Amino acid sequence: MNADSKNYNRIIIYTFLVVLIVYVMFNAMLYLSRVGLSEVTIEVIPKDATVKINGDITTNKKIFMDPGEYSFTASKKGWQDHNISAYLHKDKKLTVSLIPEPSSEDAEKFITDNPDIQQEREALGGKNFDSEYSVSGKNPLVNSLPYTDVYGPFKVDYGPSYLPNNKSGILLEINSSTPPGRVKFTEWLKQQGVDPTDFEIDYYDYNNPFKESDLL
Amino acid sequence: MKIRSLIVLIVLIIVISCLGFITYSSARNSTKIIFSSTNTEKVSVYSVAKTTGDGEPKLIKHLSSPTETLTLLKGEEYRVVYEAKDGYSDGEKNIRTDYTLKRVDIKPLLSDESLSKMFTQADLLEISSVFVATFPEDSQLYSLNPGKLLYDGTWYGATLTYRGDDVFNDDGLKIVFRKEAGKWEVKTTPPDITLSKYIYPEIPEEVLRATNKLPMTTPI
Repeated sequence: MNADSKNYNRIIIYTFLVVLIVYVMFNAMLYLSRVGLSEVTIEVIPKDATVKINGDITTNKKIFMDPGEYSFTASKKGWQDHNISAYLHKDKKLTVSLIPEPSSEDAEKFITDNPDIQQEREALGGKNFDSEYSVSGKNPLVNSLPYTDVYGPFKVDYGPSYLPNNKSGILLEINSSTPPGRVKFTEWLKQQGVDPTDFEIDYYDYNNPFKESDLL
Repeated sequence: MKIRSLIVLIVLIIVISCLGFITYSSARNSTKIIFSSTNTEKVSVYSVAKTTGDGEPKLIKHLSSPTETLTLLKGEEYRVVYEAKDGYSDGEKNIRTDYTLKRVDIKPLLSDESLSKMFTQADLLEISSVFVATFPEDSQLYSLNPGKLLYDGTWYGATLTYRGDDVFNDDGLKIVFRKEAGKWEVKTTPPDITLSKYIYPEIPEEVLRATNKLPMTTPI
């Protein structure tokens, strides 16, 4: 092999080594920048809605963040804001689907003129229902509802809560009950490992006289 | 010789890079939490995720001073177990090291024994009077049962027994009072079958939980 050929081979090898080192360093730095962080993917329709995380605007649809609870909001003029609170666990990926509702004629017309977009919105809405930050994901009790105890008697189901401080968004509804049934209900809650302090509960069959009394 | 020196240099660079990589990676995966405790004899921090051979949570550290900073893994769950000084209750609390947690305050509650010593007959009489004064009509339908002084000694949880004749609404109810500026006041209006932290966010959760657990007893 002559000198030129040897030099040529050396250049090829060195070039390959440099490219390899740069590639390894780049990936190492990328990995280091994400250590301790978890991946969040944000899906939003309409796609040009402004997305905020804890009030800060973001344009990235894939982000790496520290574990913890975050508030995600999508907003656009003519559409009702959609807000989701979700807990980002360590070493777990989270997908947040934001679908503001149309609240203007233009927005309604956009949906009507774009049925494929409406289908995408419905698909995202379904994802929200099944995701870990949905109602059933955050409160395992909900998965066993509605529940009926014919001997109690009582029936317990759940509905939406409108209290702004109730982050679970759940209201437990007690129906078909008698006073002993309502006592059985509290015992049933205890058997589920649940403390009534942690729930907003409406006893529909109970007329609380104190709610109509005159307070001094 | 030149080639050997080059190889040694490359190996050194690789080793130093690896050490730097491991150190930086470890630092990025950790967070510093300040633990501050009062009225405690001993505070211990355990990992909930990591367990010892017999399944017990693994001890991270016994804290050696009232204020101490620990470096913990991000996004993990830990249990803080504390032994309280005389007059206070031992306890434990779970924490999760998410991005919002920077400090953990450990403040044991007064023990049941301390609380019962604080509660006087005069308090009991005043609470009964306040109940009647607050609900002049409905208090006739209910009897106020003996309750418990709670939390920091300024909260009182009790139960109400129905004495009327409406058999479809004769449920026992829970009620909470608070002593403010030396006077007792009703804080749960209306009293209810169970008390929710969402309806009464201003009442400490420990007070609501303890009151919800009170058994229905005979009236005063």
